[in-house]
Amino acid sequence: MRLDDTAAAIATSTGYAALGTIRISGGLVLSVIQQIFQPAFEITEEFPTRKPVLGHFIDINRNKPIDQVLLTFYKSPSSYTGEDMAEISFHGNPLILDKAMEILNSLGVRTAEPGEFTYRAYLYGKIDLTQAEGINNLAGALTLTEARAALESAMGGLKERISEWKTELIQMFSRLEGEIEFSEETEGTFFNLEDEMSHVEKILGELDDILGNYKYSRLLRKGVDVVITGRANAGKSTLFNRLLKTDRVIVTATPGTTRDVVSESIDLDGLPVRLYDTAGLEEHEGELEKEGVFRARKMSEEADFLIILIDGSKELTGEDLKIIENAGNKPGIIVFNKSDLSGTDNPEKKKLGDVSRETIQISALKDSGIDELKRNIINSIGWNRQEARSGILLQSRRQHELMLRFRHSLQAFLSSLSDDFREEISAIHLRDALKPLDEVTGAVNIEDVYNIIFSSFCIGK
Amino acid sequence: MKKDRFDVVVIGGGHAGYEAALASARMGCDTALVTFKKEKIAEMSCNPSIGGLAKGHIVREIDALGGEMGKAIDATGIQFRILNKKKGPAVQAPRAQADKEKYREYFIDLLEKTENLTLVFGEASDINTEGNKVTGITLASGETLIAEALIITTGTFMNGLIHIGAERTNAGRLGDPPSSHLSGSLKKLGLELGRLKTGTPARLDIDSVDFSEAVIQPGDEPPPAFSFQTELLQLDQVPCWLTYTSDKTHEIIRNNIHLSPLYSGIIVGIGPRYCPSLEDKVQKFPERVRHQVFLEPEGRNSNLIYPNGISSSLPRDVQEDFIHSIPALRNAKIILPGYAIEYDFLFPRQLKPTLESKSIENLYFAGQVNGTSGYEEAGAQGLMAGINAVLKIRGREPLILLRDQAYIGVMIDDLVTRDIDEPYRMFTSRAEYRLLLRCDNADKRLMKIGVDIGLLPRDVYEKSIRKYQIVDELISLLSQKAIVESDLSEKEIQDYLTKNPSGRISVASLIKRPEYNASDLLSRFLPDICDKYTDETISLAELEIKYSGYVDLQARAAERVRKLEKRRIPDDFNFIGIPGLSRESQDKLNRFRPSTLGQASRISGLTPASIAALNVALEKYRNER
Ligand SMILES: Cc1cc2nc3c(=O)[nH]c(=O)nc-3n(C[C@H](O)[C@H](O)[C@H](O)COP(=O)(O)OP(=O)(O)OC[C@H]3O[C@@H](n4cnc5c(N)ncnc54)[C@H](O)[C@@H]3O)c2cc1C
Ligand SMILES: Nc1nc2c(ncn2[C@@H]2O[C@H](COP(=O)(O)OP(=O)(O)OP(=O)(O)O)[C@@H](O)[C@H]2O)c(=O)[nH]1
Ligand SMILES: [Mg+2]
Repeated sequence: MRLDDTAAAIATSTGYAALGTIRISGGLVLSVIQQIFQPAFEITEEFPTRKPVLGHFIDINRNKPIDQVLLTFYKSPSSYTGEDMAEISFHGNPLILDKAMEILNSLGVRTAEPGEFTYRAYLYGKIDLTQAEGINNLAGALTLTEARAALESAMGGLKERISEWKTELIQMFSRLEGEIEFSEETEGTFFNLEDEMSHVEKILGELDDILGNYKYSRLLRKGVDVVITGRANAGKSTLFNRLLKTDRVIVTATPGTTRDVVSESIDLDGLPVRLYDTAGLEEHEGELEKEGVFRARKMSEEADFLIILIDGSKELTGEDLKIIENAGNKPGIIVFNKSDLSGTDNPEKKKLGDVSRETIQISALKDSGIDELKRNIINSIGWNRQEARSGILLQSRRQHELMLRFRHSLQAFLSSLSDDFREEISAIHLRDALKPLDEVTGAVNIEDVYNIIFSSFCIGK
Repeated sequence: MKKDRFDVVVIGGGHAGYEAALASARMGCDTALVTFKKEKIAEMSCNPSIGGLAKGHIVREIDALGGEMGKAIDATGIQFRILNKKKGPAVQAPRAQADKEKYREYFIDLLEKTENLTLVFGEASDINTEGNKVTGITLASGETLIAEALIITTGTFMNGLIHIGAERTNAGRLGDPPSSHLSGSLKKLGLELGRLKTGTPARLDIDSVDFSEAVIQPGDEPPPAFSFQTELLQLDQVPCWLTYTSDKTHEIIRNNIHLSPLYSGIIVGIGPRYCPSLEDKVQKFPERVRHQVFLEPEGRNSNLIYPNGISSSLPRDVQEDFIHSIPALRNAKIILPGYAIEYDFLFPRQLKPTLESKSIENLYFAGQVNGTSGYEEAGAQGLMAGINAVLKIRGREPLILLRDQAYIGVMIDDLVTRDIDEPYRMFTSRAEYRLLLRCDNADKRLMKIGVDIGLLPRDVYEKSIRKYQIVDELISLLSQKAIVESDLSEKEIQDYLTKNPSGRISVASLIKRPEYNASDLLSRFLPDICDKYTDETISLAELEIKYSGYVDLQARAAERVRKLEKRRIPDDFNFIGIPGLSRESQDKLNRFRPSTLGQASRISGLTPASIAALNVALEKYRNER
């Protein structure tokens, strides 16, 4: 954590909650609010404190609202962290939250480290240490052991890799500074452009591999919400049980059996999946049924992946098409169930309009096509167990942001080596490139640089 | 009766001492300079040169603040060069060979005729205090001087011990007595001292050197001056010479390495790694077949040659043998042997950024006694200690230069926030904002301060302001002057104009390209006005244009750090028991007792998180008040 800076984090665990909240804490909060928040009603006086205000979150780059939000401002010191703070409640879609974080980052708001707000609160004397630790553990808890194990083993790898890069760059820095400082009093050259460029390119390559693996880390950390949706009696609960390998929910031949959203965690080839069974989407009269359908719709909207289940033994109905249409371009698959029943048309030929989704056939009851369904889900989510297990995984959004910054400044350093090379300018880029690494391993001590220079080159008249 | 009561007393007539005494006297304080011998005032103990990278920068800064070193070397130098001419302007600096005797005479004469300044010759042996405050000094003769503030600049003299092979002599410098009482007096005051080492090569008779075996190294023409106040340097420059050690040299060193006090473990003080002895170079870099030796005359009429690069503390006969194995020095006559010297120094973390002791009020330290090395580093500290001693006794705000303001600021900040365990020398890489701290703009950075404290004549400052007005005018002319297709060659149109949607570019944007220089472009596109501007103006404008984006970036980064610099930590603040800080960090803070959050952030091993915790504790402390 640095001083004087402002940090933000998505406060509710992504995906599960009905609303997504972003918390921002630090000195910049008010000025950030002024830039990203457009209140629904004009605020003439000071920004109200501790009172939710309705308005829009603005994408400042395109000057367009991204979501309608409720913003609550807390003035220092009467806030959770003790600093100026804001809580922004979104309508929930994780993509919108990510986008909002990106916008905040671009305004100089840093992504908070895990537990940082609690730590700030502790520093400001708002809570004591045992409380802080308790809250922290809770926030960091991961349910699936395999995901957790994968993340933990990757943690050590990243630190190690970063120290390797850092050692290499400090040596490079020493050669560059040696060139600037001592080339007039020493024979020979310190800094060979071509060699140095290939060093940097090597690091960039390694970095890109790690950045490429980030998607796995996200998937491991956040898990994936897979929602089974479809008309009543399509076999959703049967499929749910099948995927869980237990009789978790009630299955009956009567349409409208499932009334509420039921969820369980499963492990899909190492990927933590939260599977949701929902009520069949049907027009209803009853209060309870209506609520069930409402919740099912809402759940589908928040899903990361949809299984649109259709009873393949029956004719495709307008209801089915509507469900497909409502899914928009959310990732998902159309699954024709009950393939064991004879006498049905080949579902592939059924008219799906201009929908271009993949379709498969299964029998949830007879356990056929289930493996293919699993493979299909894994592929379209982009999960690859092999790669996820072998590579270095970035732990958090903050680390990802750090590595992106590192990449950016390293790239700038590299191009300063190729066109119009000037030692003192390249040195600035190289110092910049080292900075993101400082946050992981601590600041570079210039004496270490001199240690390298004086032990590798014979300096001094 | 002899005068014995002063505002400021300075002990030591070296480079720190003369700057301190001159600053104090010129600012109007009744000042005494106490030193061993008149004829050794401003002695260059080692190499006969001033400046070089980072050091030359410091001299320009001393000059802009109203110090003397730059004017002195301009007046007494015998060869002037700009170093690093092939590199960017931020990392170029002037260097000069001095006439050592003339340099001493310059200062003896100047100090003698400076108003408010009394020279006292003898050994200062005790520091007198009352409570935690300095009251004056006692000399070895028994005489006492009363002082409101005291500045100690004793260089390598405290418990100085010279080594030549197994020979050991108590001395402050070859031929000078050591200062053997002062260390004890400082320890009695509770100050912590350490031990360092440095060395110097033999001096040779110029007539015994065979220059036909060496390569001549002339100065630059015209000779570049150090001082902003020097109009034009006109002199007949004296060349230096370059020669090399041989296989034979290295063999002799290897065969006799056991006789070196460094390698036999007799010397305990740590020496500067950037000024290694020839023993060190041969042992640590056995693959090198030769090492450079620069032959530098010690003056225009001096009979001494300073062989730069072969510092040694081997026995006299071994030194003679290896020197004779260098082709140009086959018959060289050794006038003075090379030697190593160990001396006591004060751990400078015990100082405030004003160079005043944290525990003893009105006691200041400057120069090599603070663990630094080099004339320029010493002179700059002397100047700052002198200025701050005067400001303190007058009850005025101290002068603390920041890291983005001057190399002097970087150096003093490093001294008070770092553990010094080898002689500290300035390097440009110590400055985070190197592009801001250039030789060319030292006047822009510091002259206003020099005028405000009363050391720099106002007209000098005003002249600099006018200079930059003209530079700015030229920059805006160059940025406004548009170039269109008909002004350019086919290739230029291809390279620059087609990429530019507006179809026009400014002269300034062409100057940014490495393949162009400003004066050519000026005479090509603005021929009618190019005579109006001096070469200096044009090159300053060019530099600003070429560096512009980067300079802005560094300035913004510096501004962010300044915020931390402004958060002061009260003297009585308790670092122990701060929540969220490890015991180790608490102890570290307690040892250095930083006076701003910025300083705290540079203490090595403190993480950003600990600084945040410290900030919070400070805020609470303030609220509770
Ligand atoms: C052998 C040797 C090798 C060196 N090598 C290098 C080098 O390679 N590179 C480099 O940059 N620098 C080198 N230096 C250092 C350089 O000479 C010093 O850094 C610089 O001179 C320090 O200036 P100063 O004012 O602190 O002290 P000095 O120049 O040492 O001046 C100290 C003054 O204090 C006086 N004094 C001391 N004690 C007392 C007392 N008790 N009472 C009265 N007067 C006293 C002395 O007479 C002297 O005039 C070397 C110095 C020595 C001696
Ligand atoms: N033949 C056959 N019957 C199936 C299959 N899958 C489900 N069924 C039957 O279809 C009926 C409805 O199954 P459920 O799993 O309860 O259907 P649902 O989609 O959850 O229904 P609601 O909760 O009412 O929306 C049950 O009688 C199941 O046994 C299948 O693959 N083949
Ligand atoms: Mg059901």
